[in-house]
Amino acid sequence: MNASLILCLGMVRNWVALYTFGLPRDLREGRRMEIDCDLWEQRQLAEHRREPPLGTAAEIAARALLGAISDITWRAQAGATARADRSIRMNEALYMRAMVGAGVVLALFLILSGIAGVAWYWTLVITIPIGIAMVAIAFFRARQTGGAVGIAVDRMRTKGESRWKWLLLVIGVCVATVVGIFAYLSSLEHWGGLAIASNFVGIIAVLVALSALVLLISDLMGSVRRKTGS
Amino acid sequence: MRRKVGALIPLEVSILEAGIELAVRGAPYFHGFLIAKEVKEREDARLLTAHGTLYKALDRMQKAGLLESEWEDPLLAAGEGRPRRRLYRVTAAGEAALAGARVPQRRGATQPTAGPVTP
Repeated sequence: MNASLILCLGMVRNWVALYTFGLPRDLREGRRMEIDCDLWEQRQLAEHRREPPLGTAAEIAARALLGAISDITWRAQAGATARADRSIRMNEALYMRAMVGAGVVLALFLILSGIAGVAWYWTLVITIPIGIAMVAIAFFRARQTGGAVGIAVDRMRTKGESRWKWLLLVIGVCVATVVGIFAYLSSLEHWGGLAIASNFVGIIAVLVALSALVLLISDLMGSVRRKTGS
Repeated sequence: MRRKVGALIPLEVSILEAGIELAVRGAPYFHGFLIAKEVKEREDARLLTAHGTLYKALDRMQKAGLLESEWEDPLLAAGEGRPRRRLYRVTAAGEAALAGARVPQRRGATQPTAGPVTP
């Protein structure tokens, strides 16, 4: 294939990859496949008609350039529609809202336990920023797309998708919870009912963190096996 | 300037006309490049419709119910050694919209003769 044609095809594909980046898979793949097909058909027709490759390359480049504004506006509309669809889908499901609520409660607990651990000042440095970050993420994502926790669960349920980020997030939250509980319990002179309940939450957090860690290690090992096998 | 809801822009009219003409010729399904080629030939244009303009219009028309689309069988495309095509077809609503778009044009064309003749 002619060098100018290779360059043009590469540029168009890169442009399509750029403006479809971040869209839902069906929209993204649909547009990329459609443009790929279009480029292939144009190239085939040009070869059939024995048109000069430079002319074909120029026409492909012109088509991409002249349509760039439409690509950008399409991207903006598709992105907004996808966000709205996802938000509605995530917010409609009761259990997703429950998960978001649980995330917010957990994050608030981290902040409060961090404050309670005022005797051990270094724990404040760890738990309060993490707790604030968790609340911020939960609220920001809830407004945007239906909740970080909801998305995490949604992602984990999708086979074949990378879930390591979400496993790390779960582990991070659990570790912060345990640290917060430890700080809280350390600040108490006498253990009461709340302390026992906190202990219980701490044990659950440890178990969840361990489960997430097992999944993460299993995913990593699977990934290494696939890489070495291929 | 915002266009009227339901009104067709010239590219949409061209796509519908070309799609219906292809159907009359026995090929009711068309892919993006084919319709761009048909539009170019019909209008004797120098360039094919730009990617962004074409696929945005097809997407919009599909959402409006003027076109419907489906991805072709991957085995068929693989058998012919080419990428999969997304095949579009003009719907009954598309035909009606085109007919509706042609009526004002016809009215506009006949208005001068239909009006009162000044002495």
